[in-house]
Amino acid sequence: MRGALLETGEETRRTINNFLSRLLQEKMVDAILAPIETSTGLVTPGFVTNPEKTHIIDVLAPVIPGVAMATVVSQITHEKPVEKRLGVILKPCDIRALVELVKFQQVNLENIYLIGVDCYGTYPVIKYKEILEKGNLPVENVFEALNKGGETEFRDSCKVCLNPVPIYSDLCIGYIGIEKGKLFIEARTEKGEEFLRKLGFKLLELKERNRAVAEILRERETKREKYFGEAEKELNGMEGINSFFEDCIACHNCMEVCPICFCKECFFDSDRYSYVNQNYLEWNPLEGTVPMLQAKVQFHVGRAVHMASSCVHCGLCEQACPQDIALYKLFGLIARNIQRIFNYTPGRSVEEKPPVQEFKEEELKEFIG
Amino acid sequence: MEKVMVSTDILTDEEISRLYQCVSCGKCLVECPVFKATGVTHTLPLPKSRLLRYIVDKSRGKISYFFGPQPIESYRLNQGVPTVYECTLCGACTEQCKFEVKPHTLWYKFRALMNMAGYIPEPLKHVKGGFTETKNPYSLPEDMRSYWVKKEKLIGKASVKRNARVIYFVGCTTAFKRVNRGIAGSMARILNYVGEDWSLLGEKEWCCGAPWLMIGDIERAREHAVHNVEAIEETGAEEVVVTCATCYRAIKQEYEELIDGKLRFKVLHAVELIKRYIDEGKINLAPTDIKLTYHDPCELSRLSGVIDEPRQILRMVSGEYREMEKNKENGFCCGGGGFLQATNNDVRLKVAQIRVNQAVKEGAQYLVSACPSCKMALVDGAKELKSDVKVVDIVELVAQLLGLSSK
Repeated sequence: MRGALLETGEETRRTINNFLSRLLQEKMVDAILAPIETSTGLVTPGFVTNPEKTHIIDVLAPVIPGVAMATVVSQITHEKPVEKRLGVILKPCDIRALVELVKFQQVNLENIYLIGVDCYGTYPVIKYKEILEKGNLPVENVFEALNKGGETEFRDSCKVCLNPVPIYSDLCIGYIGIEKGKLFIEARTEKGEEFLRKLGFKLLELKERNRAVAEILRERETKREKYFGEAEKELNGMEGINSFFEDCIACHNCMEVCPICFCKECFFDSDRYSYVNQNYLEWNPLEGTVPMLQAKVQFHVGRAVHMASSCVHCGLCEQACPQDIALYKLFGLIARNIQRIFNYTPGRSVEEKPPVQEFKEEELKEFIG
Repeated sequence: MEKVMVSTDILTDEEISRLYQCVSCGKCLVECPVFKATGVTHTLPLPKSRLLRYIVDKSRGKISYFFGPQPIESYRLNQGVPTVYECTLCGACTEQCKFEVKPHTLWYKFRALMNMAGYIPEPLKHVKGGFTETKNPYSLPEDMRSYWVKKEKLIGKASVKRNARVIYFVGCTTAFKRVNRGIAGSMARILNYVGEDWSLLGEKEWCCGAPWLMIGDIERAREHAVHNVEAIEETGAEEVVVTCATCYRAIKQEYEELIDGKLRFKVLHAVELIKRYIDEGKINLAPTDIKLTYHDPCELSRLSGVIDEPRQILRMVSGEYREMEKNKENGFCCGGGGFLQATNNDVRLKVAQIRVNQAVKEGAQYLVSACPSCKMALVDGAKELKSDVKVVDIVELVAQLLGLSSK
């Protein structure tokens, strides 16, 4: 795809914000939903409508502040489409979650323009705060890691992420595979191209970017196989799973932050479901003769199955765990395996139906013959 | 679907920005006493802040930008009532928060917002009626405020004077609750013992107003603050001593904002005053061998920073003083805060039992506290557990050791 090359020098953030200001100035969008800086230096999803106020936007902040942008867009649009034009800044996993939510009718994309951002990886919120407190800029650490290759302090899900570049957006702000001091704003749709042309950019193609991305993916594939291979060993059998969740306090925060988990009333919060282990004993005619799942484990396994086909591997569940359980290991593993069975990549395109919405005769042969 | 408009004008910009500072890291969930007692997730801090964010987004945030201020589904508000009110406002979430959200202060405002929209627990609706009339949350006639004086055989020795250097602000939970009469009696005896120039406010004392803040009626709380400040300042008192942690925090931290002015008197909790008497040599306490442990009232320790004084006193009176597993700023709530007794007493009792068990684990004979609400909750918790640990207030203990008890 074609795009425009921007000179940034040392001023990456300001260059991006100036670009966003121009989108507002030229009335291409009425508002921008983006990560904006809070008084503690962290970011939170927020609106900017004034072209002179874009300096608070921190597009490249390598952190997901507890709530996925997809969740915010869903809150705004799930009842009715917006009438004003909204540009939304999203990380690659955010976009994929958004696409999944469109399929489940939780997001209406009318009047919404997606501006994706490359994401080489994000830090856990606590780590991000530490970096800030030491007086460093987390995004600089990311650029450095990108040059050296690999970063050990990213969240686990980021270390093995196969989508550092957004796969579905109108515009994409790219830095991976672009020489230092420059940014590539890629148009992915006609709308995107129109934006760039109206702003007077000369459009060109960048082949070397694709090569750089492919290189990262090759490396990550290996890491990913290793990561999930180890996870499979650790989580093998009931014993492994029970001990994995030993420290879980059943606070359900993993469920609350999950961008895919959208039910208005959760089954696990309904009267139908109670945590008393005895219920299982009562329901089970062979009382006590089969190993019983601990109630909290039942919750996680249930949730993992619900999320499996649409999980976008953002790893927010893990970041939200107050007990620091490496949840992505389990949720990611189950999701990867299920998605493989159905050859389904969540967030690839709006048209592709998720396995739970569609029956194909040829699928699951080994189970149904 | 029924929807109602909810105003969020009561939230300041600073509060809203704190609300959005939250990154859902979940650390606040770990120490929540209500969650520990019930295992129910909808009363946790994060579901609270999510619901509050939702309401703010709809009234003056991301959603209202597109559609104008939007009404909130009433089913959400109904579900929100236990979420907001089944909470002891103990501040354990604030203690854990690494992102300066100060959640518990937002819960007060959340209650105010819910109260204005008319969504409060049924029991609190009843409380409000009598509270407005009698100026105490127990809806008891005002002339019963000094009934403890008679019961504690202190007539003539605990009186209302026109002028005094120190005012003893008894507080409703001490004055009206039988189990706490001893606290008031002991305080009066200690003040007499050291020859303090002190007085009660008598019927001029109104509830400190903190319960109104817990219900969510800031205007009523203001009425109480203005009245009490006037009544105290009329006496020309230099110091006000309280035995209740809730009264203490309300007068010390909330009054100046409520009356929009400076207080002309100093507020002391009994433990601070007693510590001073000890330092001045007015009180001498002989050591005993009672096994003691101290329960930090949240509003005194975590939320007001009065932590060392009670420990210094207790270490002085017993060589067998022990800390419980959860102590000081990380103390565990007794369950009695935030009007939980009226909203859901079962939860309160469960929380209290956890705390009593922590004391039992340390082998304590006496579980000492410094707040009448804590004493009540812990007494009830011990009763539920059929535990023989004796729950006393630190003021009662000091009076007892000075040989000043009424019996």
